[in-house]
Amino acid sequence: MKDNVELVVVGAGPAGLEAAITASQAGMDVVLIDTSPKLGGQYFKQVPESFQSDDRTGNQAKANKLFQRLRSSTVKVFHNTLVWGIFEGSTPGTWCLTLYGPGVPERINARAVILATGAFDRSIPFPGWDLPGVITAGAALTMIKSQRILPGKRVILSGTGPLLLEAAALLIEGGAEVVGVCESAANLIWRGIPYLPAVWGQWGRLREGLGYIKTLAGARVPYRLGSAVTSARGEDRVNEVTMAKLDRNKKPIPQSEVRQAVDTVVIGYNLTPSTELCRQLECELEFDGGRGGFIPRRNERMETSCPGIYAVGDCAGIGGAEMARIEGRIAGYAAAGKLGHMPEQSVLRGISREEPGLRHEQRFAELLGDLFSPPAALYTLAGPDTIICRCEQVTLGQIREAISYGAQSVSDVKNMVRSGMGNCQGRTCGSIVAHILAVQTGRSLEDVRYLNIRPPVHPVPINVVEEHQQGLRNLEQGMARE
Amino acid sequence: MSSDNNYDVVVIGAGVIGCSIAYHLTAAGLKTALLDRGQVGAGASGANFGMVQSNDAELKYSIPMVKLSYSRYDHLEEELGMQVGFRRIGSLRLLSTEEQWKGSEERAKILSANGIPYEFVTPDRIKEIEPMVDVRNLFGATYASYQGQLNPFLLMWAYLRRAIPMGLSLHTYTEVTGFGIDSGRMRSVRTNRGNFNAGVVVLATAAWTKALGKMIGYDWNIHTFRASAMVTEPVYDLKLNTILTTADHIEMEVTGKEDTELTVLALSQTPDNHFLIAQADRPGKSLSSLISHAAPKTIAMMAGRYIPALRPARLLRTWTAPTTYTDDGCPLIGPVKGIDGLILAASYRSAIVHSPLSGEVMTQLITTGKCEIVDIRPFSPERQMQQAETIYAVKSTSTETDDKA
Amino acid sequence: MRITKITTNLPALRRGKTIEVIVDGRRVEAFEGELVSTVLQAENICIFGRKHTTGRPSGIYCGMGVCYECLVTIDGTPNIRACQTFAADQMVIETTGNVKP
Repeated sequence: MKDNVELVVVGAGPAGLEAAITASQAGMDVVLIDTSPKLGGQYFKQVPESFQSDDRTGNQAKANKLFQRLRSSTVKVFHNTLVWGIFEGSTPGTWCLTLYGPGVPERINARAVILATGAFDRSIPFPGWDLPGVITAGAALTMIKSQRILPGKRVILSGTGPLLLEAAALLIEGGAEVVGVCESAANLIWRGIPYLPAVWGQWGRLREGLGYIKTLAGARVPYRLGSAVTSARGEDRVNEVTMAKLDRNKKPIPQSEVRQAVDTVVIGYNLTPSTELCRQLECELEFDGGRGGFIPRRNERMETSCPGIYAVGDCAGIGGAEMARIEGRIAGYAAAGKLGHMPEQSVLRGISREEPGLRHEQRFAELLGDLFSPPAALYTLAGPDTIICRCEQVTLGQIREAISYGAQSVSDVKNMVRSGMGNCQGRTCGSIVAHILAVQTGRSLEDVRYLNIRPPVHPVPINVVEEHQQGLRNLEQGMARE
Repeated sequence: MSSDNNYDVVVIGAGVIGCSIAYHLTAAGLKTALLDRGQVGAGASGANFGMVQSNDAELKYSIPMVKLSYSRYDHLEEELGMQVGFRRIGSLRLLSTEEQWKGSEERAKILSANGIPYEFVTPDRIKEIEPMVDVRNLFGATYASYQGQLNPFLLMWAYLRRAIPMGLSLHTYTEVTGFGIDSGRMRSVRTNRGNFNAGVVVLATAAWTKALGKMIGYDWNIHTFRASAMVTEPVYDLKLNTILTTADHIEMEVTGKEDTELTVLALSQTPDNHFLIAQADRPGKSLSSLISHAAPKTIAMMAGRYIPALRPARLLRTWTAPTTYTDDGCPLIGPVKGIDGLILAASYRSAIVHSPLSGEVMTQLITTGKCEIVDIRPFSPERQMQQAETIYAVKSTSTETDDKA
Repeated sequence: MRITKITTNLPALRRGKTIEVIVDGRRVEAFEGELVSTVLQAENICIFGRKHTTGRPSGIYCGMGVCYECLVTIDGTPNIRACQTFAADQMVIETTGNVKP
């Protein structure tokens, strides 16, 4: 079984697919790894194999083309496989990736790695956010589109940006009663004017957006700018929320509070990059609030500060699927060039061809990042008893106490009260604690830093790390009944 | 950061030693700054089992200091007004051959004679103490019944929580770039966040001490290596009563025969049921916190081999941190000749047991010019180190018995 | 509630063959290709487990395997993410969540 390759691409979403295809077309020996049984990542999330879908939408056509290009390449795909760690290889200039998946080697050595691990929903806590029935916009979208299940019957949405709109539209299409959408941004048109040039050429996106707005209008669903859900209540499941208008500083106006009976709350405060593998490698990071927070520092070839480790797509800064694809191709050329499969001239030509498109997408990403960044003031919705770290059940009160003792970084807080020491390894609470710390100590988000990530990037059983052959069944990711 | 950057003392290294020193100095009325290049406990202090160990003490000179410091734990939580998770616990080192026992016999004699319980126990006794162990292929074990364990982060923060309101100035993510020395006197510490002026500087910097020394022309005889460990999710159907280690070890190459992970098993269960598993030792000068591709595997192999029931338990995190040893097994405590005001508090073996007293020792030394609580002359940074008969180190050559108690 | 409508963004779809799973001792019909989380949602089960430290209920949150809130016990193995696991015929699902393994 193949355990020595030239290039491993981690993540089979738009960025990873383009990277793998580009590199293999240049003659590289490529393995593409993804935790899902299907290609496409979150953006091109597919319905399961056994669901027969007749999807003629433009989006699916794009996805099919991409999948076709991959299938006709020599890229080897490891499905249902987690890369739980990346280590310096036993020979200089190589990287050792440890894997957990059915029928794949426990470790694989590569001379170059392209990380395309995407992103996940950002969480902003409020009283009751941890009740069953409160889900992210990403969760709503994936369950509706690829599993065809509604999260509930009577839904309210709260958050900011295009994903929220898409989720609302799909909930309506799926047959849910959507009582309203609270969009925290206000003055969208006025603030959008400077970005008009960035909108030029993004017709597909605009069409999509207008389509969603039409669906909401047709169902008479109120889309309330400058408002947010500020708390939720319920016993075993959410049954009521409070929503309020936000003032100029994005703080809730108490007199505007209204209660709504719902059984589901969809929260959508944009995405945050999945940087765990980069951080586990101690790639240098830089802070960019508009692109999701701490992201790996890269050169124009998408290479991080760790030689041979590239990062592309949303995992290196939120930018959408088109930017992801462009970056994937650039890294594909770069890796091919680095390993001698492509002369430098061709690499430069390939990259410069992508430049105009990249700039175009970057401008649009800036527009979205600016208009729809989650207001910092919303981090004050939580009360002392609100759970901040869900895995370890640590409250805001406990975190504040730790900060009052002198904690200066998210790691300090973690070491005192265990926030970030549970199963999710700080993915959900890490940036929340950073905001709380920044506000309470008057320091910047860069200054309070982020959690140090160490392998494994997801919890894995000891026998997997032991590389013990008589392993246990791996039940997740459709690996049942090996 | 305050614009007033003048201090009486700057302590570098916010580990279990540095935090204790900073607390005691501040309590004695000295205006103190505590610096660390990372977060509090970023080095070995944040990468261990929290053992309050007396059984691995250096035998010639350190026992009085170890015993006195250990006794401080009787009242520490009370004094600091904060729980540090301290509990009494025994430690068992499993021996599979008589040879391995012979290597510890001398130690057992000396420790016991000095009031530190450390004895040989038979397989039957092992079974009584620790039912979980399969004793079939064991010769016996050494048992240190009166040890302790705590949460090292809670220890460090207990000191800081008391000291900061008293005026301690804490500066994390502050890296030392140089020292300002004028006519043989310490004047300031230069960092990536500005200068800290002080006439006294304490290096409580463990593995980083040598590099700091090089900045000012000193080559202190401190060896470094990296030790790796990991932690599991809570495991409720297994109960471990002691801190378990093995004399047996395995070895796996990282990049070649000269660069390996020498791995014994070290196992402990925290009060909230997580298993801490260690210990892979990798010789070398690197201070990087990137764990090797081999260490998780070797540690998992030892765990799986000795406690197969642990195999389904999920690992949450692995880590590695540099730590130190000296040829004679003793720390470097005391003033540095040639620079007035520079003091070392480095390379304590199993620093946690030394933590409480280290602060008292350093404070007495700085405020009165001498230390009377305990005799620290054997630990002078100026001493010629005699190679100890038993090596308190990671095996880096092929010879010698390996007495890592 | 399973979606049966067909719309612009939810094109025509035929679910996989029916399978049977056991949820908290009860026999339940599901479709091949459904995640365990989907099956539980279709049965109106919103509490997948309780936090063992506080007893607070937990269920689906992120839907993509990142938050570890949707943990259930599957065929006797605890702490399995329901949103990352496909239901299989005769699979035994217990909603005891983040619990003592």
